[in-house]
Amino acid sequence: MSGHFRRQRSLFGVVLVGATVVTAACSGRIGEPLGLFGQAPATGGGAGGSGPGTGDSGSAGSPPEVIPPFAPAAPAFARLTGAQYANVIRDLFGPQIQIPELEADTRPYLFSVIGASTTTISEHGVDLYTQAAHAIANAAFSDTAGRVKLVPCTVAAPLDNVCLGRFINELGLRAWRRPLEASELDRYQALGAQIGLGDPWKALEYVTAAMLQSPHFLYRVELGWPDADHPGWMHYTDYEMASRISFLMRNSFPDAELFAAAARGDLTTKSGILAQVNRLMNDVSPTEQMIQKLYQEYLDLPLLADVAFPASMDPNGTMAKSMESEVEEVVSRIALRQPADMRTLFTTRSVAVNSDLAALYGLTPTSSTSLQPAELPADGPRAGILTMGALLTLNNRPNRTSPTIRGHAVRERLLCGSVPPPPPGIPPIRDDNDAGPPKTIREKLAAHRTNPSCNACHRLMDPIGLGMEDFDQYGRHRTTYDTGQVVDDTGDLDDVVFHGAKELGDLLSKDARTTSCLVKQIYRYSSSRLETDGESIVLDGLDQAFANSGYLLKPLLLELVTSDGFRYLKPEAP
Amino acid sequence: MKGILSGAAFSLGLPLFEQMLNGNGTALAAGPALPKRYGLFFWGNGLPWTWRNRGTTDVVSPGVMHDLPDTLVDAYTPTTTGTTWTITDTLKPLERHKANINVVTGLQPKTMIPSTPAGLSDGHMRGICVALTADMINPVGFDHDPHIFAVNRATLDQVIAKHPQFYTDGAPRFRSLEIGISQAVLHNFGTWLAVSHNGPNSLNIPIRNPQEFFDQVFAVPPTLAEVARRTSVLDVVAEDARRLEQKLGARDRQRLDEHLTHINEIERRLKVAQAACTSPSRPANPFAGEPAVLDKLDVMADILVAALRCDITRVFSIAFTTGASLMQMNGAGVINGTGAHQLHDACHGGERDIIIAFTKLNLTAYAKLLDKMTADQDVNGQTLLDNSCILGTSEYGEGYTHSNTETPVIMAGKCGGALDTGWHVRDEGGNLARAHLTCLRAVGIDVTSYGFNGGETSSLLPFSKS
Repeated sequence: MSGHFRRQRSLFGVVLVGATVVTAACSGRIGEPLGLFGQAPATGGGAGGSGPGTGDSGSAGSPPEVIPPFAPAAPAFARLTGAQYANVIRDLFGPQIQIPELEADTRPYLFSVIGASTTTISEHGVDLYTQAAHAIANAAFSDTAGRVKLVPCTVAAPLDNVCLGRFINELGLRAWRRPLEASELDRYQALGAQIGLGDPWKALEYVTAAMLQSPHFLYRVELGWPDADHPGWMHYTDYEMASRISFLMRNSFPDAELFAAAARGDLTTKSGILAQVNRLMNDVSPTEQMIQKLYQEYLDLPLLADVAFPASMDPNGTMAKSMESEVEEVVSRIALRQPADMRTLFTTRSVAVNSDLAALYGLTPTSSTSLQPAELPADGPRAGILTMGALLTLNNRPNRTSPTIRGHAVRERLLCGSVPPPPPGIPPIRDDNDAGPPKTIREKLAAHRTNPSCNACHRLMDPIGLGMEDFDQYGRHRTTYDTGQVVDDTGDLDDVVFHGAKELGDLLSKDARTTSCLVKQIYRYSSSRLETDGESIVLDGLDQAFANSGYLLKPLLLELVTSDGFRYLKPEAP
Repeated sequence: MKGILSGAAFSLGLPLFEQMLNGNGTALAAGPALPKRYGLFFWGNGLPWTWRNRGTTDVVSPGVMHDLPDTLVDAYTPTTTGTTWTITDTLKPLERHKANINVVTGLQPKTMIPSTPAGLSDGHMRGICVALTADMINPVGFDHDPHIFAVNRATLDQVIAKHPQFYTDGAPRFRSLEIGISQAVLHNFGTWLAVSHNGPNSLNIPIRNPQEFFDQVFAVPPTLAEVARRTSVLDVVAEDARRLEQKLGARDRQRLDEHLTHINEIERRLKVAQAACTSPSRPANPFAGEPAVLDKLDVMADILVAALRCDITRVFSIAFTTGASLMQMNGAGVINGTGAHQLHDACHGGERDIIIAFTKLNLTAYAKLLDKMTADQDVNGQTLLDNSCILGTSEYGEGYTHSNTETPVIMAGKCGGALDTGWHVRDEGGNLARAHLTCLRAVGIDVTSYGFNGGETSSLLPFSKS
C-alpha cells in the first residue's frame, strides 16, 4: 500500500475524514477506486496487493501529509464517445447529417470518456463505424448543393490530384486534429485514384469514408513529445493540446482559432493555453452545454427517462425532462452565469420551475412549460440539489424509496467514497411475507444495522439515505407514509446527525470531501481516465486553487488546463 | 448498411452445405463432418429459492441459515434424476422440450476467491464470470462500483468461435453473433451489459435492435464494384492502424490490434461468397424502449435461426436478460416498461411468487428459441437443435440470497449425436465447469479438462457421448 494521506481541509472546521473508518469486513478504501489496467492506483492496494487500508482512519489528530511528487500518467488513448462522434460529424459536414447508430458507450466510473479509454471496441462496433462512415460520406456527397462547400477547389472530371490532395489535407486537419504526414497524404491520394478520379465525387466520398474509419479519427491519439525541461516526461504537442482543450470545452474538434494557436506553437505554454480557454469560456452557451453534459453523466440524469411517474403528478409526461432540465439550469447558473460558490448547489433556494415542478414543490402554480426562476420558502423542506426532483427520484426502487441506494449515491458520487459489493448468502429484506403490522423502511432495514456483517458496509449508505425519507421516490415531500406511520427522517452522515434532505445538503456544503470530490470528477472527465498516484499532488493543488477562488468553477478549470497533469504525460511503455 | 444500401439484392446461402450433401440432399457426402452449433441462452438473477437444498453446500458462507418458513418448497428442482423425471412448476415452460433438454442441478462455481481486493466474493460477478468463462473474477483493478474488470478471459462462445478445431472447414460470414432482448441492464458497462467477451475489457455488446440485427446479418453490398471499393477503403484504414500500432505501448497496442483484427474480419466477410438463402423480412418495428420482451425475442430469434440455417454463423449468444436484470413485469405477467415488479428488486425483496413468475418468463423465452430451432430443418433432415449444443444458464442459484450454489444449467440439443437428452442430472456441490467441458467436447473440441483458478474439471456430464 502506498501509504500516503490526502490532506483534508475544511473551512468550517468539520473534519470528517476520521469518521469514515470501515471495518475489515468492508475492507479497503474509502474514496479511491483502483487504477485501470495496472496503472498505479491513486491510493491503496492494487490487484492482489495489500489488505484493508488504514489510510483514512485517522482517529485522533491529523494524519501526516505524505504526497508523492508529480509523476505524469500514461496516454489515455480514448476513442471518441458517441456524443463526441456526433458533434464532430455535424461540425465537419453540417447539422443536416443524420448520425448513424454506433456501439453504445460504456460508462465505468460514471463517465463515457473513461469507458472510451478502457474498453476495447467489438467487431460489431467496428462494423458500425464502417457503416456509419459510408452512410455519412454518402449523405454528404450526394448533396449536390452542399458538397461543393466541402472541397476547397473546383471539382471536375477527372479529379485533379492536387485538388484531391488539398481536400485530404483540409479534412485531415479537422478530422484527425493535426496536419497529415506526407505518407498519409500519399496513401489517401492513392485510394482516390483507385476508386477512380473519373468520377470525382465518388472518389471524394470514399476517401472521406476511409478517413472517418481511420484510428486517427476514431481515437484521440495524444501521445506527446519528449519534454526538454523534464527528462523522462512528454508534453502534449500543440495540436494534441488544442484537441484536449477543445474536447474538454466543446466535446468536438478544435475550431480555427485553436488550430491557429497550435500552428503558432502557443499551446505548449501556460499563457497560450489560458488565452484559448478564456476565449472559449467567454462564449457562454457552449460552455454551459459542457458543464451540463458533465453533470448529466456525473449524476446519471438521463436515467430519469426510465422512471414511470404517477399520472397524477405527470399529466403531460414531461416530468423527467423537467427534473433533468432544472438541474442543468441551476448548475449552469451557479457555475457560469452568476457565477457563485459551487457549494451553494447544496443549499440554494433559487430554483427553476415549470408547471410540473411548481406543483411538485408546492409553489405558486404556473402554466409555463419552460423553466422560470423561482424561490423556495426559507421555512420549507427544500433547499439545494438534494431536494430537487431529479436527485430524489433517481436511486430508488420502483415502488419505494431506497435509503441504501440513495445513501450509496451520496457516498460514491458526491463524497467519492466507495462501498464494496454485498457478500453472497445474504438474507432477503422481505416486503410482503412479513406477518403483523406494516413496517417502515427503517424497520425493514434494521438487519442492516443489527447484523455486524451487514452493518460493516451498510453503515456507509443507509444512515445517509434514511435521513432523506422526508421525500418519497418521486420527490414528493411527506411527513407520513401511506400506511399512516409517521416519517422519521433522522439521518447520520459519519456520526453527524441530521434531519431531512435539506439538512443533509447543508452538511455536504460544509464538507471538504464534496469539493475535492467534484474536483476529482472534473479531472477524470477532462483526462478520460482515473487519476494516478503521481497526480495526487495535482488534485491537491486544484483543491487549493478551488478553495482560494471561493469555489468558483472558472478558476478551477483554468487551473486544471494549466496543471502538470493536463499538460504532461509519460512515454508509452514498450 | 442501412440507408445507403436499402433495397439491395440479398445473396445469401449455404454453398458449403450443398457440397456436403449427396445428390439427393438426404445424406452427407464423404468429407468434413456435419457442422455443429453452439449457443448460450443467458438470463439474470437465477432461480426462485430451492429450500430443500439449502444450508448443506453453501461453501461461501458456511453456517448461514435463512429464516424461511418450511412451507416454501423447492419450485425448480425435479425430485428424481435420470431420464424419468417429472417437470416442476418453474420448468413448466420447457415441458414440450423435455426430450430435447438436460436439466443439471446442484452445480456451483469452484473458482478461488482471493481476499484482496475486496469484493471478489460478489455473487453477481462471480456467478456471471464462472457461468460464462469457468474462471474467477479478474482481480486486476476490481472495484465495487464499476465492476468493469470482472471478466478474466474469453467467454465460452468466443473460445469455441475462435478455436482452431471448430471452424475447420473455413469460417462462415460471422464467427459468432451476439444478441440481447431486454434492455433493462443494471449498469451500462462491463459484465452488466454483455454476456459475450473476448477477454478482459473487451465486450461484445449484444445487438438489441431487431432492425440493426437484420441488417448486420442480411444486408450486403449490392454490387461487386461496391465490394471492391469497400475493400480498398479497409485496406487503407488497416494500414493506418498497423502504422499507429508501432507508436503505442503494450496496453493501447493490444486495444488497437483487436480493432485491426475486426477490420480484417469485416474485410474477409465482404469476400465470403453466399448463394441464395431465404431470409425473414426486415422487421418493421425497431422495438424502441422496453417492449414486450417475448415479442421481441420472436423477431430476433427468427433472424438468428435463419442465420444458423443459412450457415451465416454457427455460434451465438442471447442475453435474454443480463446479470442483475432490472426487467419489469406487471401482475398479468406481461413485460413492459412500467411494470409493478422488477426482477432484481423482487429477488432482493424475497418476493417468491414474483421471482417464480420472472423465472418462468425467462424459461418461456428459452422454450420459444427451442421451438424455432426444432421447427427449422437442418441440412441432414434433422432439426437445427439436433445439431446444436445450447447452454442455458444464469449467474445465481438462489438470486434472493446472492448465492452461487445451485446454479441452473439447462442444456438443449443432441449436438449431432454427441449428447443424449432428456436427463435430469443432480450433482450437489458439483463443479459448474462440467457444463462447459461437456459443451466443448460436444462441438468437437478435443480438450480433457476445463476451468481455471480452482474451477478446473475433467468430468463430463453423464449424458455426454463424446
